[in-house]
Amino acid sequence: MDLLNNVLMGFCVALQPINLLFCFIGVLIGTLVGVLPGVGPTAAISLLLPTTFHISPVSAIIMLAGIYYGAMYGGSTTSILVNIPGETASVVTCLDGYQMARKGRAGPALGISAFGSFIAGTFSIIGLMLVAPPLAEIALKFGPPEYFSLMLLGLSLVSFLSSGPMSKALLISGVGLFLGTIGLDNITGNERFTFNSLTLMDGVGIVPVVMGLFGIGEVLSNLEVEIKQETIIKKVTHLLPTLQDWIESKWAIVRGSILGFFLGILPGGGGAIASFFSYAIEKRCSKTPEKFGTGMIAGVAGPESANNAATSGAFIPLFTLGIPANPVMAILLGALMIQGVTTGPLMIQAHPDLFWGVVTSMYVGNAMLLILNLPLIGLWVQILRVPYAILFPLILLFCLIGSFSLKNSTGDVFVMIIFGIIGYLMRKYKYDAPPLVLAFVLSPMVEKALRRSLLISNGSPLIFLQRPISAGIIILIVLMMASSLMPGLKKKKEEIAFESDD
Amino acid sequence: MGRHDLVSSLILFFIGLFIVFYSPQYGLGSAGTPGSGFMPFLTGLVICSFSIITFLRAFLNKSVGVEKIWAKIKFRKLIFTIMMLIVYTLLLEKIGFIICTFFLILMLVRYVGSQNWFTSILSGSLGSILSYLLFETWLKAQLPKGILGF
Repeated sequence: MDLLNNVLMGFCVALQPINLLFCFIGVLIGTLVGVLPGVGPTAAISLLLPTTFHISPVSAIIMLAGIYYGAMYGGSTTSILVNIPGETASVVTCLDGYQMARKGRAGPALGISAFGSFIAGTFSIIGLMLVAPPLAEIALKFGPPEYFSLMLLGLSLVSFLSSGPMSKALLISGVGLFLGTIGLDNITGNERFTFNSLTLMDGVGIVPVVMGLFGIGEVLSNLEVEIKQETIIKKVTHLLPTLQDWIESKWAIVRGSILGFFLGILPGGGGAIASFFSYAIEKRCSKTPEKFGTGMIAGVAGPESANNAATSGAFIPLFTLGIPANPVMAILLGALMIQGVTTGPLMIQAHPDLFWGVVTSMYVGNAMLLILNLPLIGLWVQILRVPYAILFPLILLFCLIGSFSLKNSTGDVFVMIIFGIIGYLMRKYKYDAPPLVLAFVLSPMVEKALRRSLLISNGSPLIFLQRPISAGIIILIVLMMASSLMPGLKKKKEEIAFESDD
Repeated sequence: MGRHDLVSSLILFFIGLFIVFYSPQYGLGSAGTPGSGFMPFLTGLVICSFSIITFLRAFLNKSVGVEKIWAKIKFRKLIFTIMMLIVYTLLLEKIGFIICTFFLILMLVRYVGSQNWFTSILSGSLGSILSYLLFETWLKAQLPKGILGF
């Protein structure tokens, strides 16, 4: 009954007019940035971060979370109608979604992705409610060694799942870990690799790094390809999927929801990987795998459900362990810290209104998106009519303003431009950005956990194998590494990780 | 795997080497009490080891032909855009947000986007004014005022 009481309390918080308003603003902005290629939820959340300092922590997190899952909805709209994925998580939706649209079935494709997202979102919010509190209890027993192993697992996982050879992903993770150590040492307060720069004293910021790598980097690499304006599907009718559509996609939605939720929980998992996996699984489960890519509704329903389920799943490590599973969560962690909320195993007990309010608001937000998105599709399509020649300076401008307004200094803007160039070169030399970003985000925590573990064990690295939970995780990492050397599995991995180049 | 992996892993190897040699000055500490330089030192080792592996993989793999990744580059547009971003950032606090933004969008739309003057000026004006209203007036972002005083 405890759970029911908590849920009711959550709804009381989420349904307050002020929170409804912030939830609405969040999902609306989220959908907009989801539609725009090059501007992701990370950029939007960091742009709006300073505005949340004056509002209550609950409203702030409700709005920022709304941007995150709203972007997942927006991304699918453009994938289906224009064949341009607004977000990495909706790259696979293009494959069958756009084909459906070309056959005049844009309506059902959009409909099923909205309903699938809604069902998956609901499923994973219930999962979040059920899993997070007990996990937080377990996490209370975690010491530095367990945290260290867990983060190592996240880093290995994201490298394992990235495209191309694993050595390159691990190499770029090493670079990410190093970037995270720049600035003041958070144990002794020593300056490291700052070269007397005031900007670097605070460390390299997450926001300039992410905006540079993804926003600026993408614009720079788009400059050399002629952006083909694909035929835009203008007429969208029959948004409601037919009974046959439902029959074809019901299991895809179920599988996508479960898969997405669990991949979302893992640090380094997240929407993009979940949608790629879901597509691969649907193709395997289908009786007619050869028809995938020609407009199969299951190929839209599965990945779209998976990426939405993953967004709610990603809140679990943040709310229970204080570990951000992706850059968006890292910025939310920053927002919580500014508001004076300490994350970690005790957060749910200390701030029940925040946890349950935010979780239930996600439910409300999902319903809003369903109602909002279907009639507003025409408006989003209009935005895409703006030629890229005019759109790209605006994307660059948003990134410039975003990194400037963090501290009202141009230091971070230069950091962002440098990372824009690095991001461009990484695309050229085929290095995945997610391993770098995750390693960078986790680096300070990895360092703290490692150094504290060694303090406890008096310098013996065996401590990671002597504690049972930590040892279990290390074994898992070793198994994963070993399996990547097996040729058969490697091939399958490459099939799954196709084209996941950012 | 192609020749570009040889180049990139070699560059990263030297960066790793630099980190390995530079971090001990921050204090490596002892095994029981690791110092400030410990973690950077470790990441330098990680970078070096995986860049060697990447280099060897690329070196031993001769089956794939050389991929020309720099063949299609439009260097002029690329360099111009990066230069514009740098100039914008340098002048932003001196000249102010509205003027800088107007010229940034104007130049990019005109010379990188290859639109006509009318479209470029229109995008520059609308872009700078609307973004000012959005970020300064509504979101209170405190953008630099510069010589115009607003």
